[in-house]
Amino acid sequence: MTVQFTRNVDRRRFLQMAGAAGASGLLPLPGSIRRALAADAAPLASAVIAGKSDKMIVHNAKLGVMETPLDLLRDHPFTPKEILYNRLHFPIDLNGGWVATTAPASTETTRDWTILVSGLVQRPKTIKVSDLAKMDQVKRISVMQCAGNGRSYYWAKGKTAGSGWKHGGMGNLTWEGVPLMPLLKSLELGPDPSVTFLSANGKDVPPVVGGADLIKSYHLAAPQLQNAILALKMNGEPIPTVHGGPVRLIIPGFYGNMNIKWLTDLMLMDRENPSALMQKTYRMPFEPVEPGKFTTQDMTQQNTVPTYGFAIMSVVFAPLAGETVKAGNVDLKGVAWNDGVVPVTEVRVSVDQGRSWIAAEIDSSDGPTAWQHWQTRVALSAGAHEVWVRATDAWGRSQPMDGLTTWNPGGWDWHGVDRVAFQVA
Amino acid sequence: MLAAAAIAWLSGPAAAEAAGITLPPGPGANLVYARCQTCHDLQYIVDAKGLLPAQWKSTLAGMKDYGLTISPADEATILAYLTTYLGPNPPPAAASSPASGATRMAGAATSGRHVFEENCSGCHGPEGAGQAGIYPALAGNADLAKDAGLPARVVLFGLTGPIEAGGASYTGTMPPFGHLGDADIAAVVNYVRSAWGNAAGAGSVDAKAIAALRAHPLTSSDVHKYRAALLSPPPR
Repeated sequence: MTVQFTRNVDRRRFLQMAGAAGASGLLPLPGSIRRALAADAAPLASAVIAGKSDKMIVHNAKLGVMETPLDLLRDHPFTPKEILYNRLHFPIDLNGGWVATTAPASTETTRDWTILVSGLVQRPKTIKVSDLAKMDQVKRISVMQCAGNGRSYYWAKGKTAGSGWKHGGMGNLTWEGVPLMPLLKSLELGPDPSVTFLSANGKDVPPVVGGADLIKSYHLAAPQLQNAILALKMNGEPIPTVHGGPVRLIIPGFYGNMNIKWLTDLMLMDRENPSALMQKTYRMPFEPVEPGKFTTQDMTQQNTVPTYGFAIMSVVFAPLAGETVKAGNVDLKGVAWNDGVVPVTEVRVSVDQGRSWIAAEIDSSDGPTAWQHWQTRVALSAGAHEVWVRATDAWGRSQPMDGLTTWNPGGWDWHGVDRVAFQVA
Repeated sequence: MLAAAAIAWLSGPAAAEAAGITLPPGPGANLVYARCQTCHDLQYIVDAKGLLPAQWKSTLAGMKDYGLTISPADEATILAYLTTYLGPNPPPAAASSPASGATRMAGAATSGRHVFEENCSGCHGPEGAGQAGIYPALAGNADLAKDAGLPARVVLFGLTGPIEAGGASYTGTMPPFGHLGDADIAAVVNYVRSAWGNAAGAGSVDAKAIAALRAHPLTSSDVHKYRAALLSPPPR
């Protein structure tokens, strides 16, 4: 409706100005467009996604890829929509750019939205979002993180394709919605005994005919699915459109691309979806690989596994790299997180390049899939210092001391021990 | 009301597309500009500078998996460009490398037909017939006659569907071709407006007119709105 209104206003203005055609024989632009193009050509986040803070670091405007500087990220226990990282898989201007905003979907869009549940089942069903909203809602507090978060640190060993994320491709969020697995059961779909995978697809479509769609498949035995919800709210509000509203599949502990936005299809299948965005990317090799010796084209279901759950990780929020703090007792703080299967049980900190380690206090009051806030206090004298942090989970899984050991051609899964250099004065 | 409209224009997504990331000049760069911006902007390519040849080869193969359709010859040209100019050992940039715009300006006008065949025929067809539902026909396309500024801006800044043309709808994405020189763009605009029996309407454009349009970059969303404003029937 707005579009129609805009068009007519500008048509009028356009006709007014048309009489002033220049010697070139070209008609002038409507005045309002002329204002738009006077905007700075630098990729400002708010020009890419309406409602985003211009402090965001834009990695790819056409795909709406942006990350959060850590000095913003650390200020909020729950990451506000204005500064939450984003990554789309198809151009943000497709179909009128309807997703390019942090505003929620319109009432009409939400009312009319349906999810088709089908696949190898006897009775496919359609679910209305408006019906989901009437069901009992549960809350999940979980980390959302891009599988490429930290990719730029791999580049010390060898370049990879993809955006140069630092640590800001993540956030801590609350989600509210309807539990997935009980819902599937209640639909009485009559699944075939061969069903082993759930696949999910959203409303976004590739920009070229025959292009790969973003369809993700999860083994039904994955423990994280027991915690999954069809989410309608993020941080207490209807989900911002760019982050998947009106309905997004949220699987706490799984990397961002697995949490399908604008959910339209759930399919019970006997295998992973063949989409190239499932089979040719977002996969980690089982064995260590070297740059140029193993490429994304060498990836198969036999030698790689999809990037499902987060690799256990911790980062330093204070001090940040390059900051100067006062000599004496220095507070060291940050967050840790894990894959949604078992909790982080230990966070250790070193201020002497790993020769000795101090156990940090862990605040896990938001639950095991949320940020685990760690902190400790260390006496430091004036000079240059470095803090290292390393998390370990209940199964004894930890972070590699040298993150480069998991170098891989897509640059996924960075979870090396975070090392932050700062000054004490 | 006008203010509301202006805000609507300003809030168009991806204003940064107009930022115009520049590739190192070299043979094949034009194909990268033409083929790679349908799905992502050039930042991805610039960020991947330093990939080993096997990695570039794999990356380009991956793009075909994701939907890129390309002739073997064009693929080889793009791969040679990427591995040479964005590989681990790129040739040193030419001393006093002229701004690409200057290079473009200096070139004598190529024939419009030649520019069309090299850059446009892949999607719009050698005879301008387009592809149903995706890329509109240029032959017999009456919209071209209304204002040369329309095809000129579409070529310079790109256009993403859906659009209506000749009573049919098209959903394709046209990347910006602003890397082409002003004279070449003027030539191809004049060509498509007069070829295949098209009636060019009000006059032809020259390089100077293209340069004037280039000086005020638009986003593809702005072009979409401008096109709608130009072509929509006047309000009653």
